[in-house]
Amino acid sequence: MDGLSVHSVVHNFSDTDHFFRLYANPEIERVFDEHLAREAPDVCHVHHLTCLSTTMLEALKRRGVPTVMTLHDSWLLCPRGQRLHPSGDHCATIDRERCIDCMRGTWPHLFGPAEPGAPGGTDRETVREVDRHVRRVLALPDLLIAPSEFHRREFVAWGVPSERIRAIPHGLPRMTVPVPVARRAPDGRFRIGYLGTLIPSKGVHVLVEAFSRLERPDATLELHGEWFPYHEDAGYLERLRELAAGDPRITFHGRYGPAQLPAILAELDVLVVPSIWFETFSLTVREGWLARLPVVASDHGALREALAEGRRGRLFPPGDAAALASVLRELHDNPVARDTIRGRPEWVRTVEEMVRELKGVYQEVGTRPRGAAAAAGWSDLDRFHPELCRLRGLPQERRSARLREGLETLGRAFPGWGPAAAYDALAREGSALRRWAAVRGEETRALEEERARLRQEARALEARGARSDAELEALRRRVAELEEEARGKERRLRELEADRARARERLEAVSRSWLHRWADRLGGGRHLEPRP
Amino acid sequence: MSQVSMVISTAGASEALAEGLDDLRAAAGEGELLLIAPRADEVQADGCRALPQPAGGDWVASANEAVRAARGEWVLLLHEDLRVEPGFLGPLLQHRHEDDLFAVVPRVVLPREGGLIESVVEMVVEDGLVGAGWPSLRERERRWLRSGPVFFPASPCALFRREAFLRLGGFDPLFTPRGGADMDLGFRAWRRGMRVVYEPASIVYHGGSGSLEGSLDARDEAAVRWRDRLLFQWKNVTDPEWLRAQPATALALAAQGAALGDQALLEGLDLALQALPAALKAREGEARVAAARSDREILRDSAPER
Repeated sequence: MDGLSVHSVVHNFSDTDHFFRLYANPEIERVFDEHLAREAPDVCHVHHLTCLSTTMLEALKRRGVPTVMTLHDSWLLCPRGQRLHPSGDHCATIDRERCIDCMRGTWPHLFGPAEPGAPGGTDRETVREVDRHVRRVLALPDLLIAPSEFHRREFVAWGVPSERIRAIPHGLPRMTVPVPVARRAPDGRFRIGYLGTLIPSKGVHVLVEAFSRLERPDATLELHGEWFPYHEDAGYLERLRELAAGDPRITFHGRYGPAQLPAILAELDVLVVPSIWFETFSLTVREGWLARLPVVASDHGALREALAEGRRGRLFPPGDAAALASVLRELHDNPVARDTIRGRPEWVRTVEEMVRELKGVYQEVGTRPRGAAAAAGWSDLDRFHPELCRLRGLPQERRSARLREGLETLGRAFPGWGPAAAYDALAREGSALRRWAAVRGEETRALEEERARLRQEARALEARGARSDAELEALRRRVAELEEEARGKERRLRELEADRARARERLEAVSRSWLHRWADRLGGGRHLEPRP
Repeated sequence: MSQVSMVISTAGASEALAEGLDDLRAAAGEGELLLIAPRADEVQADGCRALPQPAGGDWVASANEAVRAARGEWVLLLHEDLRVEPGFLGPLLQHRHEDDLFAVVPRVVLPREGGLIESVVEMVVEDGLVGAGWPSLRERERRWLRSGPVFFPASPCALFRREAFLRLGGFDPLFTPRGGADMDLGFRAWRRGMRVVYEPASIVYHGGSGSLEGSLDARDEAAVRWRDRLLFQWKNVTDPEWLRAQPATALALAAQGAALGDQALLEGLDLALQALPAALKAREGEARVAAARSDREILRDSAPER
C-alpha cells in the first residue's frame, strides 16, 4: 500500500526462554523505542503484541505518543489467547490457579524443571506477575478498543475502567458475490460451508459431527481454510479427517485468499460458525451476510451479539453437535426458514464507516493534554531523575565542556593527572569508527530482517501443505530456494559481524594505547593488560 | 517476634500493596508493620502504622526515616511489589544471634526472570571498577540452596539489625534517586567487620512492578547505573591498585562513550562527575573509620557459596 512502510521483527514462542518474556521483552522494546525515536508518530494504534512486548506500551508512554490499542482477542487475559484449556474446555471465567497447570502444560520450556528445593510458588507467582503487569500496561494507552460490546464487557469485568474502553466494530470492504438466482446448486446439493482456520477453538469438529448426524444425503460439507498446529496440539486435522471417516460429501478445500472468497461464498447455501470460544467479533459472520447467506453460529460471546440473539441468524448451544444438526436439518428441509434469516449486506459495517470513527478517536486522543500521564501516576524520568533531565536539556557544547571540567576535577582529586586533553584526542579518533559502525549497523539490521522474512516465508509455505504431488513438488522447490537465499544473507551477516569486531578491536587498541600512556604518568600500570 | 518491625515503602494505596498486605500482616505477628508513602493518609490500613515520606524524599530517605521510627530491634525493609511465602520470616530470624550479622536476605525469586534469584549478589572487580554481579542471573541458575555470605542486602527485601543500620548512617543519599545505595551500605558493613548473609529457606517473590522506581528506558537505566558505579568507586575504594586505576578508567570510559556514541555512558559519567565533591566528602568520612577488612578481604569474604 502506498505510503505505508512495514518494519518486521521475527520472534516466536520458541524464541523465548521463560514465561514472562512472552509479555515483556527488553530487546523488542529497545528496537521499537529506536523506531519511535526515528518516526516520532503523532498517534500509535497498537493491534496485537503477542510475540512482541507489552512494554512497547511503556515506550509509547515515555515518549508521550498518544496511543490507541485494539484488543482483538483474549491474549491479555489468557496467554493461550482464546480461553481454551488443553482439555478442550472453554474457560468461561479466568481462574489463575487453573492457569498455572495450563500454562506449564502448554509451554513447559518456559517454566523450567521443577527442581528439588526450588520454591513451589514460582510458577504461581510468575503467572500472577503477568496478570499484574498486564493490568499495569493496559492502563497506559489513551483508549482501548474492543471489536464488540461483549468483548468490551469482558475487559470491564476484569477491571478495565468502563470509560477507558470503547466498542468499535470492524468494517468490511464490500465485495461482489455472484449469487445465483436459484441459490441451490444445479445438482440440488445443499452446501453447508465453514470458513476459517481449522483449529480446535473454531469448533470444526462440532460441525463435522453434526453433519454426520444430519441424515440428508444431498447435503455436503465444504470446509475452507488452512490448518495450523494449535499450541501443543498438532493432531487436530488428523482427528477431523478421522471424524469425517472418508465421507465423500465432506471436502477439505484448504487455504483460500481474499480474491477467492466471493466465489466460495456463492457456492454455499448456509454458513456455519461453530466456535467453541467466545470470538470477539467474527468477520466470517459478516462475510456470510455480504453474500446474503443464512448464518448459524454458537450461542455465546460475540457471536450471540452479532446474530442479535437469533434475529439475524440461528444460534445453537456451543459444542452441541446434536443441536447444530437439528438446526441444519430444519434449514435443509425448510427454504422459508432459510430465507427468514438470510443475511443482508446492510447489516455489515463498511470500512469507510470504521475509518471515520477511528479518525475521530485519533483526533480525540491526539489532542488530550499529555500531562494526563503523570497525573495518572505514570512514573517518568523527570519525576525520578531531574538532574539527568537537566543534563539532556543542555546544548552539546556545554555538555562536552562540563564533562571536560569534571574530568579535570577528578584529575585534581587524584594528583598528577590531567585527562581532559586525552579525552578530546580519543573522542576525535573514535568518531570516524563510530560513523563506520553506524553504517554497518544499518546494513546488518536490513540483512537480518530480510533473512527473517525469507525464513518466515519458507515456514509458511511448509505449513500450507499441498493438494497434489505436483503442488507439493513446487512447494518444496520454493522452500529450498528461500532457504538458500536466507543462507546467503546469513553468510553476508557473518562477514559484516567480523568487520564490526575488527573495528571494535581498533578502537580498543586506541583506548589502550592512551591508557598506557596515562598509566605511565601515574607511575604504574600493573592493573592494565599487557601492552599489545 | 515482637522485636521485628516490617517497613513497606509504597508509592501509595496501590493494588500491589493491597494484594500483599494480608500475608505480611500475618507474618508480622506481634511485631509492628509500618507503611511509608508519599501521603500517609492514603495508606491507612488495619494493624499498620503509616509514616509520611520525608518531603522531597525518595526510597532512600524513606527507608532511613522508617528505620529511625521503627521500634523493633530488627527491621525488615520491603518493597511493595514483594510477595512472601508463608513462614518466610522464621529462617531469617534464626540468624539473629550471630554477633557480626548486619543483615540477612531471603531468597528473592524473580518471576519475571524465570525464577532466578536477585538476592545472591557478589562483588566483582573489572578494569579496576568495583561492582556487583548476580551469578544466578548470569548463569541462568535457579538453585542457590546454601546459606552464606552475599555482597550486600538487596533493597527489595532485607532484614537489618536496626542499631547497626543507624550506626552506619543508613543508606547514603548520594545514590539517590534510585541507584546503588544498597551496594554502598553492604560494602561499608563488610568493611566494618560485619556480614551480610543469604538465607535460601526464606522465600519471597519480587515482581518489580516499578511503582516505586518509576519506569525508565534502557538508556536512562544505563546512565544511572554508570553514575552509581563510578560514585561508588570514588567514595569507597581504598585498595591502592584499584584506586590508581580510577582516573584512567574514567578516561577510558569517556573515550569509549565518545567514540561509540554511547550517550548513556557519557551521561552517567557526567552525573557522577557532578556529584564528585559529595563523593569525596563522604570518602573523607569513611577514611576516619578503622577498617576491619580491606577491599580485597571484602571481595574474598563476601563471595556467595554454591
